[in-house]
Amino acid sequence: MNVLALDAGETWVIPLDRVVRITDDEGLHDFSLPVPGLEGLLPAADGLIAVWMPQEFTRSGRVVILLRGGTEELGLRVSLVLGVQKTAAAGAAHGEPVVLEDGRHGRWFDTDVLERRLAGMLPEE
Amino acid sequence: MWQFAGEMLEHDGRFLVVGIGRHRFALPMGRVAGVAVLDPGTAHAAEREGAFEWQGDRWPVWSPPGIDSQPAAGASMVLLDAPRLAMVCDAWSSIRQPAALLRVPDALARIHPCVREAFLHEGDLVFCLRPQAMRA
Repeated sequence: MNVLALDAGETWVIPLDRVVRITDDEGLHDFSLPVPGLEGLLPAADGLIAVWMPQEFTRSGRVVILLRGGTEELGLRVSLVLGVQKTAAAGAAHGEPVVLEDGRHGRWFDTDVLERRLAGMLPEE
Repeated sequence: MWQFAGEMLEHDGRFLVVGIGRHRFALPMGRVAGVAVLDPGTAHAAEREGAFEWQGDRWPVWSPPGIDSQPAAGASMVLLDAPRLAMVCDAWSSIRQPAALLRVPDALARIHPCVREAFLHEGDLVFCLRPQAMRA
């Protein structure tokens, strides 16, 4: 399957069909409330997109990957996009090592895990 | 000493934008009873005591959850009706209702129920406070 490989301290891969677009952190507004991993809010056409740096990422950067989440878009802040690759690792668990077609190794990033983690971290109203 | 600035405020279709540290929040003007311009000592004393006294009444002091930046000068106290609350801020201005409101991501709105929408104003992101979700 097609994946987007990115550098966030180490190589991570995201299913390409979840990627909406790639942008930079220009316009990212700080929202320094105590939400672990929240880097800021990015204005979009119809709302604000929360941009995260998950705890697994060891290096931030100026590249923002906008992803189609289960309920709304979310952004990941990374240091570098390495390109589109292929891998046979569809269905890998979050964080599991995968081998890319060019022989490089990466780790699978499951955006559903991130959303579930956020939902669990944030109390219901 | 403080000075009541309520006569400076207009009402219909306007927001009061308050600055608290580097954050900006908007309140519907219809809920604003007035703005008291304070000296820093009075503002800090009200924050310490959790209440502000004005014309013999006590107004519970409220601040947005998680905002730890204290107002630099503690210059003003915004008084709200329904709920009856006071907010310390270091800047304020009255603006027309913005044309476009931006929805706050669900994940954040759940942890900060007093914020559901925001708008851009002079390059800053301004969060609309929902008075009905503000508790002292």
